Amino acid sequence: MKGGGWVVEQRKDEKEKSIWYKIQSIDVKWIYLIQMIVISYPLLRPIGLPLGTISEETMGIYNYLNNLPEGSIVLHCVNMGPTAAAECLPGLIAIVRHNVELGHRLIFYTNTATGVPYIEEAARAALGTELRDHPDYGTKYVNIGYIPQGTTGFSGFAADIFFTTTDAYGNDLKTTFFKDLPTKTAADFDFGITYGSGNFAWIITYLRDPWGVPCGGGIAAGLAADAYAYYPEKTPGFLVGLRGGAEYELLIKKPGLAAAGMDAQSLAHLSIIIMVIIGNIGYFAARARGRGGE
Amino acid sequence: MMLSESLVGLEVKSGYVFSTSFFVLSLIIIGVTIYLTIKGAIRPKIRRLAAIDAIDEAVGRCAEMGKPLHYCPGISGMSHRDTIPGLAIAGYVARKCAEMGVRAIFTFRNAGVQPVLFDLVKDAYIAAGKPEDFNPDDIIWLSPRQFAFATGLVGLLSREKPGASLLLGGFAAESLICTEAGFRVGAIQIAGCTNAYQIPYFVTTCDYVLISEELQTASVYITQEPEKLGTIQGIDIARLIIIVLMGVGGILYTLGIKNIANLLAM
Amino acid sequence: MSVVARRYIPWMFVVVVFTIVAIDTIAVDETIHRWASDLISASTVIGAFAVLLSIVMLSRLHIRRILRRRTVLESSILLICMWITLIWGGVRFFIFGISPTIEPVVQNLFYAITAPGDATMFSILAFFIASAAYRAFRLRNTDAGILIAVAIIAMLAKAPIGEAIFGKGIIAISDFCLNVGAKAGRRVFMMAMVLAVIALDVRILLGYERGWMGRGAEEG
Repeated sequence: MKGGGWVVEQRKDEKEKSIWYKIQSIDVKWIYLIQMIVISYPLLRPIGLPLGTISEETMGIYNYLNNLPEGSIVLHCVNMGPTAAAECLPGLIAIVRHNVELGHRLIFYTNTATGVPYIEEAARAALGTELRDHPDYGTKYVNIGYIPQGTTGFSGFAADIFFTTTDAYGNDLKTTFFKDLPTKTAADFDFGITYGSGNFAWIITYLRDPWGVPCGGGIAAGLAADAYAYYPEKTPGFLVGLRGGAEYELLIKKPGLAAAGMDAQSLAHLSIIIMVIIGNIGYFAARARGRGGE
Repeated sequence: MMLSESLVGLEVKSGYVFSTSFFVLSLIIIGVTIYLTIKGAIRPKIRRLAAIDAIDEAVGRCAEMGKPLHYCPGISGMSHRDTIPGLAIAGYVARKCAEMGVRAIFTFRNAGVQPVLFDLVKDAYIAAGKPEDFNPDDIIWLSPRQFAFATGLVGLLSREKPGASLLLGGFAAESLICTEAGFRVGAIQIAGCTNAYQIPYFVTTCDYVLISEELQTASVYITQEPEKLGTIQGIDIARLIIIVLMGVGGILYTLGIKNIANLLAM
Repeated sequence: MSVVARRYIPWMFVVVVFTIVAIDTIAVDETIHRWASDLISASTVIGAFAVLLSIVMLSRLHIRRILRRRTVLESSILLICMWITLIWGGVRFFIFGISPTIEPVVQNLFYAITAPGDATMFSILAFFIASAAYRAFRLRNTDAGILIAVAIIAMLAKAPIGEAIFGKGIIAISDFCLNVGAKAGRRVFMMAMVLAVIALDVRILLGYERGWMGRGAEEG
């Protein structure tokens, strides 16, 4: 029994190490160095690769939001922390900008304490001012802020939008546009979007299915498989990672952080593929050498 | 409204009719299989789970090498589906370590797990007849933050260099960091969670992996109690029903007959 | 504490709460909904106390470490100082009404320490994935070959360079793999997990699974 390791075992009687063994067992520090160079170089000197085809799921959420009439209520669930922010924040900013252009009413909410600053950052980027200082705050934009206990807290909010009684800044929610909503539940919302590296299914389970609110996402690429399970029957579309954010930025014709990161993503993916190929070359060559020596 | 009135004639929410019916059917099937298993009419068997069998070998390896064993029952709280199986296995591992004189280090992230884990481990040492070997300082709460926990675990593994690292419970994005650190120190690693996104990382860095429901079944596999085996038999029967519905429904849907699809959507 | 308090009371509590919340999830009933809402609100409050518990426990741990002059003392001192600062932010909210959302010290601590720290550790995953992929992706058999092929296609399709080199075809293949293969696999995982959770819940409700009780699990 060994403690990890997938390298073909070296023959103990070998006097010199073959180049093929070395190729399939490169020290990790060189791999990390290569990755660091490959990711940071295009950020400093952009290459300018074209983005290419906009994916169906990005077009889906874009078209859906584009067709929502002015005054529609969009709930942004900014459930991201610093870890997911690099991937999901550009998409959030792009969608909020789009909503602002279309005159939608926005509600911001988060079920993670680290999501609070990103609500502020997205609003600042889209509105050009602090959210609470915007003249339309209260009539068009409301920041509920952080509701603890995850989906449990959200269920309470969905059942009664005055669940928290005040917004994130301590203002009474009854002074906002909430007071004019017919049922004062989540059924009054027109679209819900979840952001972050959490489970996409939660918004389907806690917003779409019980309240009939169509939902989308701006989710980390690693969790896209979860969202595809619901597409297109239960969600019109979603943004997949940084690329989804870049596509949305191009659709609204405001390229930003996501588009800038695409070159780095391209080279990083390419470098991983090349390393896998090199590792396999070394593996097969070492195996052939081992067989030849027997 | 009186309790009796509210329980009778409940209106099921739209979209939940089939799922509720299937859930009730599952409960009935599980109840029947538990009863039959207790009575001895059926003797369910769980196929071999190499990862659970490897726990004994991992503890033995640590005893031979004189190294500690590390165990983490996940980063999630008591309400997570993986934490309870993780804690059940933690009790088993603690007892094995106590019997073989291996130092066991337990790490966790969620504060709510601490009292349960503490009691389980302490009781395991008492049951093994070695209460004096129990060290509360070896039940370590590294951090409530996900990546701070991962950082702390990397440091712990680098310093303690355990012979085995067991990660069985709820894990998220920090899983690869934890398992890569264990790989680097040469520890044998056994991991498992139901988070499908982390299982590939476990497979590439660990020696044994419990995939999804294997973790949930692990506590049953260890104890082999008839009533618990009955629940596994029950869900297997429910699974067969689902497979038949999916297969037949898929074929009929392809032929343009949407009855089963509509039934499932009720 | 007696066995009744350690085992049977928590067990009955779990059964009652499960029944109410499960019925509320499935059915429309005003009374049950009111009870479930109250229980959900109660769990939110209990969760807040759990956070308080974690702060107290961690404080005791680190203060004990400082007093005993254990190693890595600086981290413990730094942690306690940061907590005092955050508690001050909370006090300012209760006394002066300044929300932590806009309180400068809290915001500065988050942007200067928490955010970069979390982002750095998450970024390390990129390097670990590269090294794990290099080490583990070997063409040992057909299954591994399919895995590597799909992984390469998906990676290239998700980055602009894939379409730049191979054209729109690679997007179509990747979409097929994700929309058909990955979707089917994901649904299988979900269904299997749900069934296993049902079995686990039945064991808990019937009292067969007692590990979550801690001390109540073994005695009696």
